[in-house]
Amino acid sequence: MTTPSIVVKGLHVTRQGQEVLSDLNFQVAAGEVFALLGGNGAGKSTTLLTCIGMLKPSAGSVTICGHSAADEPEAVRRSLAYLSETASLYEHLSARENLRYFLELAGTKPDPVAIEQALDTVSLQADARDRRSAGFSKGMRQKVAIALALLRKTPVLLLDEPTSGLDPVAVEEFNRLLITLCQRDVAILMVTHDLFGACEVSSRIGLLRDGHLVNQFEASRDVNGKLIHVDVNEVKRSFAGREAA
Amino acid sequence: MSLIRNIQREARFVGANRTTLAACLALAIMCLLAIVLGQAEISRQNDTLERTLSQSRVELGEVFDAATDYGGAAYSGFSLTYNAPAEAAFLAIGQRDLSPWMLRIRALALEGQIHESDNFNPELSLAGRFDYAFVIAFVLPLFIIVLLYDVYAAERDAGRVAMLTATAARPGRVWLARVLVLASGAALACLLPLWLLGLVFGAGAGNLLSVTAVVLANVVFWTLVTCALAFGRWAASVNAAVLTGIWLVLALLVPLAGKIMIDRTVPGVDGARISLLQRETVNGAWDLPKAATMEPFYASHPEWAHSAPIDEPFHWKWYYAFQQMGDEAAEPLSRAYREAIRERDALTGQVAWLSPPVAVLRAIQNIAETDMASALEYEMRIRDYHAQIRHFFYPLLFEEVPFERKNLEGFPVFSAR
Repeated sequence: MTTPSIVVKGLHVTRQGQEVLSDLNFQVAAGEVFALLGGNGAGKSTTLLTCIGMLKPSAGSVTICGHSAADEPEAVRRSLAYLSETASLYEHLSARENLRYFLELAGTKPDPVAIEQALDTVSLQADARDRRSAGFSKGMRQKVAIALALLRKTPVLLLDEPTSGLDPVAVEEFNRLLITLCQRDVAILMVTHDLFGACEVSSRIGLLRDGHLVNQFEASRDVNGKLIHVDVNEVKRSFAGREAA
Repeated sequence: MSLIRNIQREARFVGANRTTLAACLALAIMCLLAIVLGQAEISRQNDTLERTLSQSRVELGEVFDAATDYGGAAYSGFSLTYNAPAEAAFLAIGQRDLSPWMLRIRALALEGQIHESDNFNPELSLAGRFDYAFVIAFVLPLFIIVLLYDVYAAERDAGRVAMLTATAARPGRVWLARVLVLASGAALACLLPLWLLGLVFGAGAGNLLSVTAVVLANVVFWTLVTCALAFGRWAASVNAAVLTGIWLVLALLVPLAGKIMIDRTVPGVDGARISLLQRETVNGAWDLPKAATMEPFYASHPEWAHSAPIDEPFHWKWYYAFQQMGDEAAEPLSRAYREAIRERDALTGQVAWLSPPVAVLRAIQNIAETDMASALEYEMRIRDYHAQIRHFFYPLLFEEVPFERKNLEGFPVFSAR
């Protein structure tokens, strides 16, 4: 593993008097997709919110590209892009206008040529780019959000349930985009329910239950360096076994 | 990123939202309409004044020309008093809907003349007036609520708060800039029509600056109230319901409770009672010996005590003496009436501390000089002028100066402010 872009160390997070994350430890390196898999209430979204500085750890730390999420939130936010489950865009703005708005929000000067290239990369239809995003499908909204991540050139991407509600074709396109981002050395932390999707794109999978990371699985590479996916059945067995326990 | 750049970005963002623009446009149109309607009413009052004033002068001249004695000239000679609208009166019609702003008076007892219109049905006090002050006091808060109630909750419900937080270097500035832009939109929608039409209608820069300060204070107050809820944990629909409730309490319930409290604390004097007492005294004097009028009159006005005794069955100086005695009999009640109005007005001022819409209404009426103080000041000017008329005629009547038309030339003229 190269130098980790995301380091979560001994993380404890308490919300409304209840410990949601307990002694969570993992790292994500540049060019790697780490999927946190777990059921409802396992602490997946809490992990992401702590990474972007919206929640403060009660103990432990989150470090993004060498910056502490708790102490250097501005530096951390400059280093990451976040894609929410709903991939909500502003409906009164077009795809291009949304990108311009969020780029300005991030303090990046919008470059029209770069915006076109990013929209080309995510394959958003040309006729949709100037249309108000009110009628966009979730897949289209996600493409715009990924385009934003590409434009911001952040070394870290956080994804919250990115494939929920997507049709199989859209999932395939989305996975292709993730691979593109990995090739650009982006470290991706993805939280998801989707076991199959996670196994398909992730370099590593962590199994999260009741705020604890209970198991990790790592994809291997063949002699040609090609990724051999994590075995779905292995993860399923582990998940089922823990569930039974 | 500087706050200015945040504001520029949010201004472009808000400017692209048709719903927000439509709300601001609707508010601006309401302000324009309110100012135009206010100006139409003030123009109507000015036209009436101008017409009546010139007619009144002609009529008074005709009465004096036809007069054969001073008493008859004083009896038939009506003079117009008026409370000319101040230059910003079109912004708040205020008491000009409820209290007289024009009154023809003559040398007879004054109290009945002042209070004769008190029993008119004050239907306008129920309906209220759609003027600029009304829009700013009662409508503007609703627009601010509409613009801001979901400024945060809508983002949270759409799942964008985390994305905004993760994207903006300093998320607090994003919210601050957005709130500033939206509140400024509401303020501009009110202030642009004010300055545009205010200058055209000659309101005066000083008045416009004062009204601008009131508008901005109102915008700041309702923005803070709305944001206090909008950035809480409640859903947007709950925010809207609670904020509407707050508006109802501050704009309707507090003023209503205040009025009930004021009515109980300071019941006030019925103007018709003053009129009745004065007329009873005047009418009763016809049946009394003249000495019953003249002795107390000379006692309170010793400067005329040397006047020749009255031998005739009727003499104008006796007639005007019992008119004055009628006023003096009603004076305690009249003073109590004015004191009650002042006290009620002062209590309303205290209620305004609990009801910002009432405070805003009063502040703009004060600038427009259409408040209760202005109405009372006009009443006092009527009293002063009536005293001048009496002082003009009394030497002619009590000294029994032979009638000559030229002696009426110095008849006092009511001076406008």
